[in-house]
Amino acid sequence: MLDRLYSVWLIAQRDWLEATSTKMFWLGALLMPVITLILAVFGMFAASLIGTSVTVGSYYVVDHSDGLGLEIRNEVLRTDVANFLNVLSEREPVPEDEEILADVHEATQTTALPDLVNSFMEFLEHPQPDLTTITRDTLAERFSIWWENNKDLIVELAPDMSFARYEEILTPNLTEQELISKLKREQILGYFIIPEGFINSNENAKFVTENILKQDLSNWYENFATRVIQNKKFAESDISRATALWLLQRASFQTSKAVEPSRDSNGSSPSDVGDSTKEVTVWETVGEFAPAVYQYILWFLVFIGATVLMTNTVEEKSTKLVEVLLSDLDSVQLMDGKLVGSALTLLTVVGLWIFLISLPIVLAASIGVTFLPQVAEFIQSGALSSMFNPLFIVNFVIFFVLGFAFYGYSLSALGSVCSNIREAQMMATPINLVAIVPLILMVPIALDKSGTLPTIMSYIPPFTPFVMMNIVAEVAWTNYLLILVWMTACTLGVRWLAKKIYTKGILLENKPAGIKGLVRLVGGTN
Amino acid sequence: MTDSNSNHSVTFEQTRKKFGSLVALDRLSLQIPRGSVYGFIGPNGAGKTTAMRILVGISKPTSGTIKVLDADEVKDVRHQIGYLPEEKGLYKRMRVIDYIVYFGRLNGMRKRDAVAKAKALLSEFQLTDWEKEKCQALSKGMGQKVQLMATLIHDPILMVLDEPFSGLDPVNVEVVRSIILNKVKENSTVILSTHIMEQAESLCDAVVLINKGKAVLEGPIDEIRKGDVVSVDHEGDVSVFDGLQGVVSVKQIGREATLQVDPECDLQTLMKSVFERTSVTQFNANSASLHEIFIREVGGSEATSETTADA
Repeated sequence: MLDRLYSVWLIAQRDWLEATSTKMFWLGALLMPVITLILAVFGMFAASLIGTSVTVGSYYVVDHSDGLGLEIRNEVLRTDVANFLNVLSEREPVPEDEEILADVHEATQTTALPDLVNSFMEFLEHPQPDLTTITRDTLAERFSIWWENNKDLIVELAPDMSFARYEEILTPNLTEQELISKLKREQILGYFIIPEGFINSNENAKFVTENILKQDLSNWYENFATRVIQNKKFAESDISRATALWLLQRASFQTSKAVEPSRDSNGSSPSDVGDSTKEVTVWETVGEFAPAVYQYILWFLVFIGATVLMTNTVEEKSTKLVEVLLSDLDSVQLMDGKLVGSALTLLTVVGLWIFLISLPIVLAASIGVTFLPQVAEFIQSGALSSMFNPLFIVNFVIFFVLGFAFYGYSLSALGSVCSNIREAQMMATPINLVAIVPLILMVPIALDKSGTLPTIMSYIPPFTPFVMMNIVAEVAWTNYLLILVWMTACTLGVRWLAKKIYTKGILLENKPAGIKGLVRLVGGTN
Repeated sequence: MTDSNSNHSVTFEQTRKKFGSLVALDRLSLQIPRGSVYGFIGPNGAGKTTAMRILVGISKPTSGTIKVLDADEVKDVRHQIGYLPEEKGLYKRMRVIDYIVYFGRLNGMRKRDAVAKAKALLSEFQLTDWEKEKCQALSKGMGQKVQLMATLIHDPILMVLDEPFSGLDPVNVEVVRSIILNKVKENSTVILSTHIMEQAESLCDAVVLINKGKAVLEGPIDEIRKGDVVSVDHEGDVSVFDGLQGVVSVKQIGREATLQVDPECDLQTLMKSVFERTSVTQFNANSASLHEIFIREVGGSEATSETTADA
């Protein structure tokens, strides 16, 4: 027995050494996490850039209603002014500030914000008064002039300004032909048609655009249009907007998670239910997808490994090396050895990835350096501990062994009956198609881990390792053990079948004709 | 003929191998003496490689038995066998010495012993300078020598060499010949297959000629060649030999007729009969070469069928 295991180990060791002793292996293994890291950092960086970048898109409004377009334009302006004043009210003036900013700040501290907005809007709203005639006697007048001339500073202080994203073209009476021409030349993102009677019906209301997938402008304008129409309806019904919003307020629940209740020093239980719950952060939600990430990595490793195993088998068959090996050991030893060798190679790759990805994070965390606020947030959120949960790590190893053995034996057997790699890839196509199913269903399974679909799929051997990795935290122990025993039995069955095929297939000059040929190989003597 | 006997390294008994409807080996029965060089000869696709694969345990017979080194299961004596297949491959990225050591260790050797033996073999095969090179740097001949070293490293007492001389230059052929002969001197048994009849004739103690899965001829070289050939230079045509007692077949090219005669045939009587029938200028009785026997048994039978004389 030990003699047999030693031979298996020798085969595994040789394959592992050969695979890991090439420059290409190290280059590939090192580049993968580096590229992933670069992409992740770039993604975060790009996202933060997008958040602050100012790209103004233009639009036009064809208004057939009774001045609704103008009212919407003023509502947009009013919201911008309100937002800006809100920002100023919370910001302490600095010596470099212009005098007007300090004055407005002071006004926000003494006057109710809606009243201040109303007073400012008198000089700002469309149609605008002639600015040259404004006397600058009041704060509202001074502010209106300052507002028109300091758009960059406004955006710097309050980045969420609407005019930083969208700008309405105010040229009157553009024809449809002219608008289409502007659309084609990408001078405008789109144009809105407000029909007559828009307050009562959306019929004939249109947003015309070249990019039908980009709906942000349409959504943004719809919100303001809705608000204007609602205000009109509230007024007609003699209800204030505040009352109306109060009436329409939706009930909502803040998603939270249970935590171990903290006890007082005297040992008494917490009186408040809120003490045993905690709000869920975005990163914690991301952490909930850790099993799906494990499933993806598992799938990736199993398939890369099994395919490499199949390719190696075809190569060794074509060079006739396998004939020499089979005179020194039996086919099962050879298959086992090659499987273990490939598994070791894959685990080496995973080890390297974990090391390379975690090293900068751990180092940065230990010396208090953060490259990006998102990284710091991620580290502090506990998502990292979700990722490295021992339950996932242990099961990753278990299902990697079972999954890799299942697919590794299958593809080795197929490789043994083929004369070249192309032929082998053709024969492996049905297996690959079956195996891709759990990958496609990865997210639906993650969202409903106890559902019927994951439960059924967890008992189907080609899917078991991947599905189980995704739902393992939700599976009852009895089921877990049953599935483990079932999957182990199926893997041993596949090993037995693979041995039958491999032993004869590896010596064949021509591949057997499809399934029938494989069945014949299982049946006869080698 | 096939009784178990410890003087025999290998005993095939009614060994049969079928691949689907194709009979690759048809009830082969033979015994291979210990300490001998035994040749498997025959045309391509005759069943030699199948017989060798069964012998080293890669393949199993469909029916019949095989006993190797007194074991009923080849796997029990696997580490005492060295096998060199017909098509020879190497792990290209492995260093030469590592490759040889690897096969030593697969056959149960300790690493230290395997390294020492590999170095000794490299020296014997004059490849010491290539010890640390990768196998992909070797020429075809050198690669074959490295393969042979991997076959020899664990000192097998039974060597099975499928076409060991193919692709080797004359110098290397001599190296391999001397290795084989040395192994036999150490009482090892060498079983080889070859297409080169001169090699088989000069190297083998005994041969089996396999054709279409069947053993056509089997035995020591001297006995096989004992079947005489008579060449007659005469003025008549081939019909003058019709009905001559002891003549198995006749082939005539120009004036020279080649008579295959029965081993029991009385040459004096035959000569007298021939002289009575035709005007003879030369009458020579020789032992047939293995090459001639091969042609006669495998390819020559059809060529001479039209002129086969009645015995």
